[in-house]
Amino acid sequence: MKETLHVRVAHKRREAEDIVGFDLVSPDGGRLPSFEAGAHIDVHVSEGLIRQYSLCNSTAETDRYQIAVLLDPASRGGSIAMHRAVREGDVLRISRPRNHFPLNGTTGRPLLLAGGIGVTPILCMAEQLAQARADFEMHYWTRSEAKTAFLHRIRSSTFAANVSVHFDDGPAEQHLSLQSVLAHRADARRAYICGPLGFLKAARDAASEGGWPDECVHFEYFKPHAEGGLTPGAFEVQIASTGAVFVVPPDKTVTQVLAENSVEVPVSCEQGVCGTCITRVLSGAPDHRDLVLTPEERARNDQFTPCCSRSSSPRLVLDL
Amino acid sequence: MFIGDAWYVAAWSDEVTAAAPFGRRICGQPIVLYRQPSGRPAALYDSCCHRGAPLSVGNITAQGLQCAYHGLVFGGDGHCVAIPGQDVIPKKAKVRSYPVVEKDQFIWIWMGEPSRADASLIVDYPFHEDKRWPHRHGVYHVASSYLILADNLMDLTHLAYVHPTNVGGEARPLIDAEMQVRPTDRGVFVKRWMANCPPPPTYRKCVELPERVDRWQEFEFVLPGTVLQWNGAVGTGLGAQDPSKREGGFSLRLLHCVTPETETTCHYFWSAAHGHQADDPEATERLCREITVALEEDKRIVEVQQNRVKETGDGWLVDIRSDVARVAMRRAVAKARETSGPLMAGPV
Repeated sequence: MKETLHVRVAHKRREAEDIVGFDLVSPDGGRLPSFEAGAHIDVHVSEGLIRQYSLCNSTAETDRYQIAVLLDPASRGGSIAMHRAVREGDVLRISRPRNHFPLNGTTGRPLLLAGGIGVTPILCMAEQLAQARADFEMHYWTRSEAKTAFLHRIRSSTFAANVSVHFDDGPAEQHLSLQSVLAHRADARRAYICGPLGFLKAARDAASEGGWPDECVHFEYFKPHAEGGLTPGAFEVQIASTGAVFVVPPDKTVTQVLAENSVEVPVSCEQGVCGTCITRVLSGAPDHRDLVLTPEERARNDQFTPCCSRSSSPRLVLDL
Repeated sequence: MFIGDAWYVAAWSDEVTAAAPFGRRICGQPIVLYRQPSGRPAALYDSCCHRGAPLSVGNITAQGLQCAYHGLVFGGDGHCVAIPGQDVIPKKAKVRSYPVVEKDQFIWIWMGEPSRADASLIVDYPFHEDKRWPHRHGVYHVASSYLILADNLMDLTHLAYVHPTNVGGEARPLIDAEMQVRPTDRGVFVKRWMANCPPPPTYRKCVELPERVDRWQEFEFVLPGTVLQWNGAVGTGLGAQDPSKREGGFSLRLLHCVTPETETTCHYFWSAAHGHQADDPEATERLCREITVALEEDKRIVEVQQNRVKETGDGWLVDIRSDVARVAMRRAVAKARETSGPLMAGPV
């Protein structure tokens, strides 16, 4: 996080309804640190306002980073600022690219699934696979053609034949469900999935029904992120039974905040060893920091240890 | 509550003979073990269907296991095959028989529904028959639950406090060991690595080692109560993280099989094999003397612990960082309890 660099906004353009794309280049026109498909950068939109965006250009390009930003109607700062305040020529501070969503090899005909703005890292993967001359299958679901970013780029690409685009409001014959795409798994095949939380949840259920092993299904949480108000490292927890929402600041644990608000969760070891405090998560993506859950349990994101774990999404809804 | 669908060690092969039956309580059930004239071991519920006397005080005859009270004889399948003074053998004249398999010098018993007994689930331990790994073995009766003893085996910082003068040695490296815990299909695998530390006293007594060594400890817990352990040390910097580079130092394989007797007592089957100086019988004796001292230290601490926990329950106990592997083991056990079929209890 400390390693930030400055980039200049070389181009800002409308990619689709409510989606703008940015080309970010080095202010001196030089090379940028390289990246792999699936990588994202932190953009310091303004003081204290940091947002993560996946890179969506080809990894072969060394002179620019391309990102795309959806205007979130519930935005409390980030996407509005990116849409309205950031202009061509502005200089932005960003982190070096980091990758929590890497491609695990190019063989086995990878399955790439994108929902809405979640297309950004998926498109980057498609570019990388096409360059490696690897076969793959990509599906891209959007509300309508008008809201579909990169449609022209995909249709005119060398890999256009590998991609099926499905519009919610389009004719029935182009509709396709996540269930049918994930119904059968071929040996050694891996799936890479990015989109809004609801899309990811549906995809996870479909993958599990289709018999996909957890370790072969990779998710990127495209974050409709902690817009506004919250300082970095802070997030909200919501108590499902009462609807109450509490902010967890970076220097406190979830159980501390809950105890201060008279919500009792049994706690013992206070460091994620014993599992006494394991709590069901109804929505949101926990940032697991415990030592007790198995990797498969962590990947399901339906429970976490509030004594030490945090959140990757702006809010966790807890089954309390 | 015990896991029913599981193979437990019932006895060492050499404990079960054709000379006389012997009784052992397993998972709360009284079991009689004996060797049939064919040489095959058998396990029955240890009670005669006539007046209830234990069959373990009976005799092995050519026909089967004969009760010492009125002479009824039972086959290995638990059916009565002879009743003195009558020709009719009632259908009800039988006792429960348990599936047993003899493998790697153990008699394994299946305590669940017999049709689910799948011998391929039994742990493989080829070292008992491997001349490159000479071994000694034994069994202790321990007055603690099998899980309290398994806890001891999955928490390796206790070596610093329970075994400082033999297999443990200096505390700091044991506390600071790099630890990897990985859940497996039927348990948990734990790897601990201690670089550049002094060898513990037992290691020094058994082999010549430099002042500083790299130590490895690998543990695999396999349900319901087996721990396969491989420990050792070679000179520091020789790359012993790679298992193919572990020769020329101290190398010890311990097998621990813990079988519940009752909720608060267990049978602790152990074997100690060494991979160094395999051609020297004195090396085996020397190692075995050291290991039995350590095992008795474990027995002493878990027995007093069990005694106290009987009084207080364990709900108030607090886990610490060194419990990661132990907690993973307990979770595997809890899950197996939930999914297992029932334990076959009672005489029929």
